[in-house]
Amino acid sequence: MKCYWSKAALVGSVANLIGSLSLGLVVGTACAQVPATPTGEPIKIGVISALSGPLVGYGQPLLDGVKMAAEQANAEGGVTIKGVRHLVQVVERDNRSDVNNSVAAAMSLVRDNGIKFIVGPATGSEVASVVEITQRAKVIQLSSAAILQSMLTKENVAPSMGNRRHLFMMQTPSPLREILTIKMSMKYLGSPMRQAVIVSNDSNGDYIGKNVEDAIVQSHATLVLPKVQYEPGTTDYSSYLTKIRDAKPDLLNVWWLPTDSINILQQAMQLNVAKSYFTFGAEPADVIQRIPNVDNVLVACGPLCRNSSSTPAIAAFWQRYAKYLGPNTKFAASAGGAAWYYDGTRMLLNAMQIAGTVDNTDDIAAVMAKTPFSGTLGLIKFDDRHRAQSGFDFCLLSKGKATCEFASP
Amino acid sequence: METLLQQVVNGLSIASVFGLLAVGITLVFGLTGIVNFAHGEFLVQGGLVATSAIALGLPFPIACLVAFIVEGAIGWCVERAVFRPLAAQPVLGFIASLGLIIAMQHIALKIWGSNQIAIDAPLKQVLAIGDVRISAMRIAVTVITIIVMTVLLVLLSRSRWGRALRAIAIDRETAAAMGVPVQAYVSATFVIGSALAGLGGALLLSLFPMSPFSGGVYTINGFAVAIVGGLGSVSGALIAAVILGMVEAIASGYVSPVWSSAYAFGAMIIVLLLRPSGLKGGGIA
Repeated sequence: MKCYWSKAALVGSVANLIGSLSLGLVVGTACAQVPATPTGEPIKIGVISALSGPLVGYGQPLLDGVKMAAEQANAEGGVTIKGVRHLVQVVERDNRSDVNNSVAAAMSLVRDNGIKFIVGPATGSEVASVVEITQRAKVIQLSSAAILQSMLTKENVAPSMGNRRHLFMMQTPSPLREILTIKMSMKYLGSPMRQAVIVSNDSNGDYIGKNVEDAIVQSHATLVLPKVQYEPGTTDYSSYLTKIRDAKPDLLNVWWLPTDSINILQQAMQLNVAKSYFTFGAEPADVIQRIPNVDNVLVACGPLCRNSSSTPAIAAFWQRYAKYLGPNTKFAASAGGAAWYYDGTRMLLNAMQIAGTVDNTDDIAAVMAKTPFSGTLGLIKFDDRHRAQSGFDFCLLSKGKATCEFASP
Repeated sequence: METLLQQVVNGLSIASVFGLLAVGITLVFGLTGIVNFAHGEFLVQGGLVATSAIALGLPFPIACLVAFIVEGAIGWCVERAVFRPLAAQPVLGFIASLGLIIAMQHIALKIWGSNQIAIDAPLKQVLAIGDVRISAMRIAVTVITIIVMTVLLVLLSRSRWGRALRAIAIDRETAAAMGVPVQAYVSATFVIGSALAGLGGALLLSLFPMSPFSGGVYTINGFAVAIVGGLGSVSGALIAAVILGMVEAIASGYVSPVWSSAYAFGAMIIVLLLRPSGLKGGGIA
């Protein structure tokens, strides 16, 4: 059968084709003109940290943690709040390990730059000096400094009324932390019943030492002598350790200052002070390097041991951190502390999304205070004094090898 | 009894460290009149230089020699550039040394970073006699310190160089008139003092970790020992080191460890009240 197109049919087909193309063009143009998710002002997070000076070992990981969280958020398209996308911008200030510079940095960020979220400083006297500035301005502030637990009360963090309701402590507070470490010591070091404590003679040492003593008594072990406190700056602990040895402890708890811990451990082992040792804040790899056949030592890191893989989330964190630092860069001595700030920043951004605002710090703080967050450090939640409850890496050093476990209170 | 013996051994070990600190300070002051508060920074830098030498594969004794030479060279530069122009006004030299502390700390920070640095002790054995224990490295440091101080004492008291130094310390103008090249001896003393600090730092590094900020504590302890011994007296520094080391160890062990520095400085105050020029003050050697 011969098919032929009549003239009318041909014209109709061409008209249909033209119409279809036109319709497609119109629709395509219309689609191109419909805007993508609108982009709002960036969320600015201020960081006050020791990027130079003696505290740089604590300060640099703080900045790294915040920047990693910001980069991750931006790589995922930013933070979307009520249909508006916000990228995250980090505004850093180096306090040069100094209280006065911390105050100047806070004033610069809060008053000159209008920043509503500040992370840091990481250490006691610096953060205490900044809190008065941030809290008066209703700026949300995160820090892991142990001093915060004495600055935060149920009353002063009460929603709407509390004058520190925008302040959050990212580290597990005392005495929960010390109770956890004693519990782990009992588990891994053969239930040592006679225990001693050595800390430095400063405000942190006093406070931490007292909490460790109380935790020992609570665990029904015996404190063989009151905590021994050494002068900050000491490098030769032999006379202190000999005094402790005289009391014949099963376990010596070596706490604040973490930078002194390995030195104390080494000298304690040379003097044969105790059967086993616990230390907080030293890195297992560093201990093994200095004391190659180290045995019967339990180390707790603050909060993660370098390159540990005690959970998949922790292993992923260290991979992310290594990628962030780039090749040929080494982790700082206290690099594990970055996890507090990485998780803390992500918690903050999550709270903004839930609260549906980037400006109303009252609402954001209220959400943050009551919303648990699943992060690198497990499920993190704040207690009724805005203090985070999260875990630590514990590593048992036995004949020069480390076996690690992540434990939470 | 064994605890007492252990504390005595601890005290002698502490004394050797004090002695290393004090000998350079007292030598420099005895001749030049300069109170070099940056002495502790030379010591710490010596330790840090030694870590770099070890990282390059040099054995520890050679690293000590490197630290000795490098800090001696730095001492020469500092003496020429900072202290010689201020020689007529020792107070200004003291003030300049305070500035030198900050400068040297920041240079060290730039090169070595802020983290504490430690090395594997070359001698790892621990000797035990009953319950009394001491590491072999501490014994080695003590022996080396005694050798260094003995050599210095012999040189100062018996050699031509020592006689010239003593003459300059007593009367600089007369010594110059007698043909002693005073400036050269001043420079040489500063170089030796700095070099000894560098050696001290390298030896201390084998016992304790260091960071660029460790110098202050060493300086204060070193000055306490040098002052008690009598500024300018090497033998006085040796005696004072033993006294203060023993006071610190015994008092920390039997009274209260919290006050350990207070005992040593308290002893310093008592000695100065009874003998203002120190135990053997009044001249070098």
